[in-house]
Amino acid sequence: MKRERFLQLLKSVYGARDDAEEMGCSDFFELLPRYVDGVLEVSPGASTELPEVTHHIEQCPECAEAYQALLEMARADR
Amino acid sequence: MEVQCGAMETAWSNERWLSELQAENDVAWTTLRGRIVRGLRAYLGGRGTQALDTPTLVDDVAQEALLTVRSKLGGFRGDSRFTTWVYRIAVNVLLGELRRRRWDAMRPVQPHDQAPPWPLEEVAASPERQTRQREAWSLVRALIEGALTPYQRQVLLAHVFDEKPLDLVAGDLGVSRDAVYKAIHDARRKLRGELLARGITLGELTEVFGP
Repeated sequence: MKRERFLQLLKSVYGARDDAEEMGCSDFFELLPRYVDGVLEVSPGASTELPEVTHHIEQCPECAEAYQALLEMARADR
Repeated sequence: MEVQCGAMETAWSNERWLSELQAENDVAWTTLRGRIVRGLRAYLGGRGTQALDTPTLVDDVAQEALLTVRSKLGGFRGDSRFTTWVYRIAVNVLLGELRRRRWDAMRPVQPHDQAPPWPLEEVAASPERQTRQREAWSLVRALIEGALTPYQRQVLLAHVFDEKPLDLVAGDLGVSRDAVYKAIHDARRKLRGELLARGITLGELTEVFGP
């Protein structure tokens, strides 16, 4: 395993929250378009209103990859 | 057709997109397909995915994404741009396919059935640092083997140490992706609690294993 991935694992271990505060991948995908629009300021404030989405991006590398991909696709469309 | 309509439809409202697509307007569907293809190419263009790419990848992903959009059109809630919602579907299709190809190309011959004796590709330069790292990993490894349930350990090893995609782990176990993510989350919480109970902080582990 690469060091970066291992450090990410350690960070996610210590970043794990209580169940009620932890969002699953399905809920994340539902909110992701709104979040990305917020980041790109189509819907100002949307991303800062969704801290649980930010946390999930930090905890789930696959969803972080999806976030980055959607951000780039949406940005290329502006 | 796609180019001619491009400037016009960039200003379409969500309602306009929905009404045109639900009315089976061929121009709207063709234009949407063009937007998806353009976005996928923009994303892939900045990445070294050529080894996993095929000439038809973008077209195949766009086609599958459009089928999903068609089936879920009534579920669009309107809390984002319509096109961002569509691109999210395309991203899921694309990354799912790339992860499956990546896994097929690099799947381990012998998947982990326990935490590895040493987790990193490299070894620290100084003997003192090596000793500290091995002591720290020895503790974390013992917690993975001793504190987690067999199910938590199984999904953690498959996803984190074998780097198997979440969807494929879920498929093997016959459960949802959310269920796999929850098991990994539970494993992390368990490990965090055990480490903190021993007074070990993230800062210490980062210092031991960091560059």
